[in-house]
Amino acid sequence: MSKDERFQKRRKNWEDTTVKKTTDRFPERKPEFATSSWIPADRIDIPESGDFDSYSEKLGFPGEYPYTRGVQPTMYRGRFWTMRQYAGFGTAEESNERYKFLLEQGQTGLSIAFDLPTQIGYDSDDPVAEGEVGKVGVAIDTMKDMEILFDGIPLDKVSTSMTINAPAAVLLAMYIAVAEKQGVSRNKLTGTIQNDILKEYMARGTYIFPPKPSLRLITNIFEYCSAEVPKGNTISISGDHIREAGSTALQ
Amino acid sequence: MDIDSFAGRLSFFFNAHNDLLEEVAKFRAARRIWAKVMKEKFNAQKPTSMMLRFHTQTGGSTLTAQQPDNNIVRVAIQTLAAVLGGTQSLHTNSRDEALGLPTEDSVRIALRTQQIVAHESGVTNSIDPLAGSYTIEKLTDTIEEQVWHYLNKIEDIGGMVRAIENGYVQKEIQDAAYRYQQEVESGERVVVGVNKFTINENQPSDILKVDPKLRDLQICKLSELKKQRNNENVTQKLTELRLAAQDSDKNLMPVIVTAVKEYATLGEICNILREEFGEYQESIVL
Repeated sequence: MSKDERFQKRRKNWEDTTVKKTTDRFPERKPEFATSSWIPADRIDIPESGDFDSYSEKLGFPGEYPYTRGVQPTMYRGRFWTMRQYAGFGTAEESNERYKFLLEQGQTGLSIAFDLPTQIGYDSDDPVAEGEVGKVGVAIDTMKDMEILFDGIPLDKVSTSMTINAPAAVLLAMYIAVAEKQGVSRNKLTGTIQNDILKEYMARGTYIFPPKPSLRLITNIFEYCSAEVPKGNTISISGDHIREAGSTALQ
Repeated sequence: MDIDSFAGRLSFFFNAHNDLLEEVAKFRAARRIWAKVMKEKFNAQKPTSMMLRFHTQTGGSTLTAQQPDNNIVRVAIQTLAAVLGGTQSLHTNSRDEALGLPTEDSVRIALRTQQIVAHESGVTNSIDPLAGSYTIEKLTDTIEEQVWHYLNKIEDIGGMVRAIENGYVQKEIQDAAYRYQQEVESGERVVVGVNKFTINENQPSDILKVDPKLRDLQICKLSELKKQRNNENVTQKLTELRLAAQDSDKNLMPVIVTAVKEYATLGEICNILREEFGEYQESIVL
């Protein structure tokens, strides 16, 4: 098949607009990329011929609709993904030590694992917490525990992800309060709370309230954060736990 | 709420399993589906609303308690799947997570796996390097098609909340899990070190366990704190929370923030909400 010039034209247009807008502000990690044996690696490879319309509709270019090839125009040539290890166990003191270790080893984001009583909104002294305190994550009862958990970790420098659904509002409130105590204002905080209660009913089981009031809590968090914590992701819609409960990739 | 006012702040949490090509196709299909749904169904205008950004965790259920070092290899494959699929952030599981809490050595290897893929594998040099592979594109299209089938089905039922309430979603997941388990048990699906290539092995000795006295320690800290905090203020904040919960137009966040600052406990706050909202009971569908 002969070459179809439209592919190269379209690519040039992508380089001149979408890519340029990004690289002007965030240059790529290196001026040139190459394989181990120094074969130059292009930013992107595209077909030379074939069905141009189908390519544009289904694949397109990174950072452009429909984003099949990636949401950022330069992807990992600009910056690697955030390396974020999910961790937390025992007391706030022990977990704090682990977080500091991970950050020293080159981890770039924090991810907090809470124990089961915390995930379903019970204190460690509640009878239902028997045998579960600190087991699958860190035990958080009050803001005091949260202060210890992030002791010596500047919350304006790391992005934090909290895997918590039903009591997300309370843990987020504690996080914001601790940041303020560190002297970090809310608008500097970055991170994600999982806050996807629907999947708790589907697959995981750490729900507390019926779906409707749960959705109200989520909406409350949304609205509050839109105004107060602009850099946060207020919901992370979860495939993971649904998969871990045994669904297939496409479910 | 206007879709563009919050859609850009949504992010997804996916999982990466061992079937490398299927996983890569899954992530690519997910981005395409989300973009279409946001644009065509919800009429989003902003590009950021149509971008699916996601965090990936390698698959905990793929880890085996048998020959736990094999899990390092599984996690490396899953890391490649997430990266070739274009993830924004990644958690790699530690080899010993099927046995207990990960040790420091194990979490270091898990982190190093990401660093090796990032700095040594070369897959980060070109964007979406698997695009155009006949297999990848076919899988991407097929997954997209079958996801639309599910989305339409759930819409027919009356939405996701209804689909959960009537047990449809749980049943689909259980059926897939059952089929998987049967295949493993019959040996049709090989899990290395579990139903094939097994060895006699002793329980590994260096498993990290939580101190059983931990709960007592935590209870001690808690009762100490309850003595020290201003309990009058706590009671007042909790009453305010109850009133706010009764008024469905009120945003609960500001009052929760003031309550935690007075060192109201997680349980105290959630108990008020439990009393006001009730608790959920699952309906079981067989």
